Amino acid sequence: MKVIACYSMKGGVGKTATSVNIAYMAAQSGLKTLLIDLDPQGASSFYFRVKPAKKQWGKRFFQAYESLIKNIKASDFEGLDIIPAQLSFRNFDSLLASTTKRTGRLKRILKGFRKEYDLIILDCPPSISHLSEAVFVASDYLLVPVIPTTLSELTFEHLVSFFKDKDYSKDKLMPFFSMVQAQKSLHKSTIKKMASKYKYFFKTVIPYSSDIEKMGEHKAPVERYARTKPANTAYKELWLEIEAKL
Amino acid sequence: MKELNKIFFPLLTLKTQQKLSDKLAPRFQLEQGPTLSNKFKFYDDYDHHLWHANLLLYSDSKKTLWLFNNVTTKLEKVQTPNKVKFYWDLPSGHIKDILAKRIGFSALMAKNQLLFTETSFGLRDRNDKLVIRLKLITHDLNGEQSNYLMLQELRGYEKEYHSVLALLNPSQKALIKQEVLPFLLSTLNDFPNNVIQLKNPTLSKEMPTERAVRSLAGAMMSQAEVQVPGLIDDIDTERLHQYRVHLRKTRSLISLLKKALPNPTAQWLKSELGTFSRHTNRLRDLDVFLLARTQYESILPPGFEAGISELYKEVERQRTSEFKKVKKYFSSVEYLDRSKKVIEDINEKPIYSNLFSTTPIEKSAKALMLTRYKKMLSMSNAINSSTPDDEVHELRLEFKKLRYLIEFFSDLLPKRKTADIISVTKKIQTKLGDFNDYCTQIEFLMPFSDDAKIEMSKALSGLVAAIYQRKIHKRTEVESAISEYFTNNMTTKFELLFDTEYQEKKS
Repeated sequence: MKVIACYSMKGGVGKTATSVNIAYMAAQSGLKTLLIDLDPQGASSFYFRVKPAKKQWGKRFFQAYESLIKNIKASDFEGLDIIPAQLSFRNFDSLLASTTKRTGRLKRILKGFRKEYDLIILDCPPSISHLSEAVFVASDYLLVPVIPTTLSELTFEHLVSFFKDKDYSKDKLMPFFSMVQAQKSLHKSTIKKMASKYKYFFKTVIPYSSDIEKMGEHKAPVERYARTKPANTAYKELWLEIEAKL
Repeated sequence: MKELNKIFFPLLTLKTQQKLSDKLAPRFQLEQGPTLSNKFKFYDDYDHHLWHANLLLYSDSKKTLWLFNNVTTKLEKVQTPNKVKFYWDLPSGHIKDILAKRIGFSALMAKNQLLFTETSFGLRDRNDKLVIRLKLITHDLNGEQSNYLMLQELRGYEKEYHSVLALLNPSQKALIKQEVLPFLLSTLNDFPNNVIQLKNPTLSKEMPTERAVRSLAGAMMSQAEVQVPGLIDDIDTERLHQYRVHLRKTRSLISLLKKALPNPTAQWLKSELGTFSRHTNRLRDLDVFLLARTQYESILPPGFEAGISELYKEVERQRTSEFKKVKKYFSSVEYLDRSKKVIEDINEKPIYSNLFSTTPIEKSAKALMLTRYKKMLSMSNAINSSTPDDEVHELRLEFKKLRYLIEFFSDLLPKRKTADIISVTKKIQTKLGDFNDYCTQIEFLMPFSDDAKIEMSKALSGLVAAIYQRKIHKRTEVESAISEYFTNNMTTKFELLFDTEYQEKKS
């Protein structure tokens, strides 16, 4: 079983869209996949039409594997299950702050799923926090969407430094360019600069696309309503690059 | 994690589908998915050996053979790029091994056809979320159609699953763990058509000997006759082989227990059965040689391929010609009349013309087995390295008769002790059988010699020489096996098991 976290310190970079589409592609490839929505906004749950549990259970999230199981819901697609987000997840950081051995706790809990799932995808909230650290430790890979602008470049450098300071392996990092507008010269020059500096950037770029924005309307991954469009082709190619690394 | 429920139940008619929608409509929306259809052809040999072993062999439209085990519900497959008629046409693997064991040299025949259609549905709740999966399954077996519905629980939606089940409220249902098709296959109780398994009748210890002999002989003749249509159609070499085996057993039984029947009847039956058998001797010899082609080719070193090939062409030509004669004979009015008369005679009511015929079968059978054993013991004492091969063959035939006797009357004998004797007897019979095969093969091959066909003659000489060496080696093994078999221990076993006077005194 592998764990991929879709993570960025910045919001609005395409984390959720990536999580949803990659989780879908993985399931279609035959991997039994679980998408865990850690963002209290609950966007990826929304895209899959999965409502959170009525009772608040955020406090129990890190207690045991059994409390997670009860909240798993099947998506509409074979091989893809979801643990939907809850507003109570906003308290994760204070929860984790109060526990001992907090960074390893999430990893231990997710290990419990190894018999049922081939792949777990974590849709993470935008932050650098105790939760983020727990995610870094628990994940085999970090899928990092980067909008090719100067500020995003800075944010990515902060992440790389953080990894270096904490002695996390940079081999975990799977950065890729997201929401790319090919006609913008800033995007083109930033992509060239960053790809040259960080050789491990994926070759696939995800374009800025209204088809991706329409996910909220259709409440489905892009392939379900815009199969032949460039956005979907890009997600497919991104998945193939990820799969090769797995 | 909790196992998800999968429930399966029959639908009486497809009109029920509309009723289902109506029942579910207020709470759920029914969404139709794709329909998959597959045509399956089921295969078995002439005697349905796979069916009787709880196995189903079938092909789907994609030239794949599947083997379903109805006991373990295990489903395996093998790709078949070429047409498969015998087990050796399959690529190496588990399925080939199973078929070799279960059907041997018999041909696979298409027996039944199943058309399987599966339509997927989803039930969505008011938020347009898929909460249950459904499958509507139709199977058409040889023209008879049945419909089923399968409900599949989705994780996190147990409540919805139970509420739909309560709405549908089927009277007959089954919780299944495997996929639909293996489950369906395991329910095909009345499949295939016309499966018959002819068995020997159950004998009771007190049954008069004549009645027991007539019952057994009648059953074995039926088993022989069942093979005749397949023999005429030349389905495979096993039809002729099985016909001869059952005929031989019938003849052996009548001969061994001839005193149970009126003398003219016994003599006449033996003669008729001998005639039927003689018409097939040559064809069987040719078949045996053809079946062993790979073995013979491996006996000779490289360089003889052309000669062996020529020899086989000649044998195949003779086989074609001989088969025509056999087919003509078995299709003839003469054979039909004579075989009918034989069966009628065997199945006549017992006459009880003498004391032996009324003796309880357990007593007469056991006494006979002990007598035969003692005769064999005496014959074995005369066998040494200088004994002519013919005398060894005589002993081989006695072993065969003894084994037949034990098989005929196995119901009357203690299982474990008899199993011991059968096991040891089978081992020596194998050696004697191999020895006989070598002798027969040499006799079979010699007449093919032809000075005009040099390559063939060279190959023939090589084969005969190689087989002769094997024969000599086997003869030594046979002599050892005979002395190992006929020990005081074995004699005591036979006396304890079959000496009825001793047993009567003991009781």
